[in-house]
Amino acid sequence: MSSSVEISPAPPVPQWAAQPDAASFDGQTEAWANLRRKGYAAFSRHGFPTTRMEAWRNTSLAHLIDIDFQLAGGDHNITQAQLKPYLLPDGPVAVLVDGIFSPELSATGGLPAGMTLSSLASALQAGDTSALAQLDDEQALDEYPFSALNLAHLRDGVWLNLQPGTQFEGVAQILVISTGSRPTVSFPRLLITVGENTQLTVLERYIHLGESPSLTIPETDILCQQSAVVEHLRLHDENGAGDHIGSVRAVLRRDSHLRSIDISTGRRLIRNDIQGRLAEAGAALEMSGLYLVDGSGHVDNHTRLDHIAPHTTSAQNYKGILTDTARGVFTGRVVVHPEAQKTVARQTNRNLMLSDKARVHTDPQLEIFANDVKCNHGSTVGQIDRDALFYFSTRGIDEETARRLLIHGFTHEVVATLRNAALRDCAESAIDGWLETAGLA
Amino acid sequence: MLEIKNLHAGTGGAEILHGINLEISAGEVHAIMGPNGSGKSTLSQVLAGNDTYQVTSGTVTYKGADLLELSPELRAREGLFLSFQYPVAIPGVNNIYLLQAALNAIRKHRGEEPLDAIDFLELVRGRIKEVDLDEEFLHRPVNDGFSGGEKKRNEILQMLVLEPQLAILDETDSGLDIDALKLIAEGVNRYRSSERAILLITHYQRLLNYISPDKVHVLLDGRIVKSGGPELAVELEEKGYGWIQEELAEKAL
Ligand SMILES: Nc1ncnc2c1ncn2[C@@H]1O[C@H](COP(=O)(O)OP(=O)(O)O)[C@@H](O)[C@H]1O
Ligand SMILES: [Mg+2]
Repeated sequence: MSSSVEISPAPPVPQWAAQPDAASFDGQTEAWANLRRKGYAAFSRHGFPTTRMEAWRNTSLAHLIDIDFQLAGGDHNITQAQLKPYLLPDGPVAVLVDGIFSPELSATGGLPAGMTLSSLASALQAGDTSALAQLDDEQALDEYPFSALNLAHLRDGVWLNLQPGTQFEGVAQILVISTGSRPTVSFPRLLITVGENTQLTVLERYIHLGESPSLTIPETDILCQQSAVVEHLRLHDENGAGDHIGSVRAVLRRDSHLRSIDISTGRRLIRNDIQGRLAEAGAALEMSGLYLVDGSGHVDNHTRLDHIAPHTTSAQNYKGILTDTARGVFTGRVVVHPEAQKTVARQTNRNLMLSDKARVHTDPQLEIFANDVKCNHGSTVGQIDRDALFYFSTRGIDEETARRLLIHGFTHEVVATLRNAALRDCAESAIDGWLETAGLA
Repeated sequence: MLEIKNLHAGTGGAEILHGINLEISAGEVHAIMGPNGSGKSTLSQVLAGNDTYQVTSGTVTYKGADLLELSPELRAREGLFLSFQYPVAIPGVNNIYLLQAALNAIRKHRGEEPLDAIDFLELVRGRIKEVDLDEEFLHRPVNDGFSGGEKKRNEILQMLVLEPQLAILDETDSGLDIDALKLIAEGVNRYRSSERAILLITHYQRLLNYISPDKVHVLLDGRIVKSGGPELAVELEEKGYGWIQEELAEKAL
């Protein structure tokens, strides 16, 4: 044992967040490898998050430190049939297994001209500098340790690209699977780039097929050029064994419109670091989420929207239902930059508590540096409306059905904003699925 | 059909109903009239099973069984219906889901198959015309953003769809303009039958111009102080409630 005096020891870094080993760089281009090194350097500057960091005050990662998560190789024996319950009847799909693109499981044919859905590694391998440039983001590295760690482990992912003028009427699906007969960690990267005057609908879905715990640390980047219109639904179907620390980064150019909805369900840890940048005039961003948490689950939505340009609009509507001893956290930061006059920013966070042992922390943070803006926020924490329950009962409806109707009613406001019917159905069945596993249906 | 004997009920230790006696047979329409705060809504809520109120003594027999023993949903499935004075708004839940869940719960209780979507819609379409509401109403959240009159019509729509045996209408007439009032009255009159009973709770005599009750009861301060035929309602309209109070005071002397 050393007898030297320890000076404020740095918090321990779990082995799964250690520096990537040299062999992992084999076969990667120099530019790619350099970007990864940059990512790890940024992560090292942050250190492994503890609850002493402001952004992690309400979310502890302590239970993950001692788990021996290993990087999986992407080899698997998953069959198409196994994936069926998670896929829409038709439409293209890109499948990642432990972060690695699986050509056998993916179906990326028949896309309209101007649209590609493919392995990110192939693009990087081929030296595609535009993809690399999109992944390199100073603000993300400076602010988000796990965005940096994701970059440090950049091995593969999905690149969904629409050339200017491409309209895609279907739903592009990205299925991110974690597997493993032993604890696995993966760092999937989803790059969605849409050119001018494009239209896209995306379903991003996380599932867990192994018996062992898994940790998924993904990042999704959605980069919208002028007048692009994108609708994006992010579903977490990982069961109790899959923890998730994910990032979403959206950048909106002139007159583009992104609607992005996250539905985080279950009884484990989910952290969503969500950044939106309204970079040019006319950009409109709807960032919403549902978190349906049971058991000792913990869901933390941490959003930061930057209104950088004038005449930009954002709407955030996060709604949580918490039962058992679940925890919910919502931190919603909106920064209106000095040039961003005529900004409209709306934020709401509503919570429905189904148990007196469940807790929620809600923390809106508005930082407004322009004077001609409309910003508002509201948050509520409440229980099921007893008057409504009584009203239902006087119509012959049993309490269980009444609760289910009321819970659906509570989530409906968010689901109903989805324009695409297939996405709405997916959202509804995710909610139903949760109600069942949480013993509420 | 309904027999209330010496019913005492209240909330939080304070008694509101001080011994109600009332008997309604199938085929009858009774009206309960009384000033604000006399306990009309409390009575209707107690009958529907609102546990905000506690029954401290007395009995209520409905179709030969102890009503107070039944949960609110069982009361409803057994054919008791309350049109609320203040129907609650339920954002996010479409009217049609409520109607369908309610009808199927009641049908199931009667041993009937649930109606499929098509038959259900056909049924509701027929009824919604009777209350002169637009079909898009079905796809709006229950009572959310409805005007006062729309709420009342929606309650009557539910009554027409669910076909209860005993309908308690708590001030379904208040806040309605004369046309809406007539419409509701026509609906209720069509609804009358030898197997059904209706308890009309009202503040004004107005509704009784269009629905002729078999009996009228005056509720004052938690007690039924006078009962009579339809002429009693007319008398109340002319003279107000004051004379009854005076009459009572004289008797007490
Ligand atoms: N939930 C309640 N809590 C406390 N007091 C109540 C409650 N409901 C009714 N009351 C009281 O009981 C009395 C009768 O009220 P109510 O039944 O609503 O009268 P009405 O419908 O005839 O106007 C009033 O004094 C009212 O304040
Ligand atoms: Mg009343």
